Amino acid sequence: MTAVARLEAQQLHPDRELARFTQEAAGAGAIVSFIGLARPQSKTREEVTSLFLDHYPGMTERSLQEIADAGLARFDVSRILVVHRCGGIAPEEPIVFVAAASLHRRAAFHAADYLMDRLKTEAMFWKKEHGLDGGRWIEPSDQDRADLARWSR
Amino acid sequence: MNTEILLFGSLAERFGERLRSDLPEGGCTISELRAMLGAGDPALATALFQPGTRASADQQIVREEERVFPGQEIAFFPVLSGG
Repeated sequence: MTAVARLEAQQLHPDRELARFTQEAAGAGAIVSFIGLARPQSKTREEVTSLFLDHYPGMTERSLQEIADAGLARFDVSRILVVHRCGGIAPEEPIVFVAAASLHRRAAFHAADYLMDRLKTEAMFWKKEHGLDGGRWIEPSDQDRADLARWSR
Repeated sequence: MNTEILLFGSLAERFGERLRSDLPEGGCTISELRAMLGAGDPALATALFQPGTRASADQQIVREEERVFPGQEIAFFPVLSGG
């Protein structure tokens, strides 16, 4: 059982990540993966020209690893991978990749869902959207917090 | 001793990624440090005392009453955005 978390300063390649993960998860009966993409529009539907993810070297990596470890401990999965971008990101570029492998599909679906809900609120990033009208720092939405709360029931 | 304080997110954007402060040899609490840093800069004081602005020492999140000492890695950061 292994949970790997990685911070990626360069472009993220979900296809390569999934191919490697599939190899490493040999023996699993199910793999669920998720790709989060940088949205080209803000919540208020304004154009987003770029995204910037500030991070705290050391603490941010640890926050990703803690979330990946928690996923491994909580669900009947054999392997977890979390890869998260930092730095400048263009609209529609992958920002996060999550994969979970298990013997049967349900655990992998749940684990991927759980990992994303935690990453969306607890991963140690400060995110700024740049647009034509300037920029703004983003905080988790009420929906993000409600999604996270599902797992504490 | 001059200690570097790290800032992140909107704090870094507004006030720079690093502040310097002469921490007393015997250390001070996080809330005392907030007040010291903000003493000459009302905008920084407001930002540091904003609810949700957290502090860490040696990469561990610390409470207001925690004492920090010269030479430690101290940081202040705003509410996390998440990923």
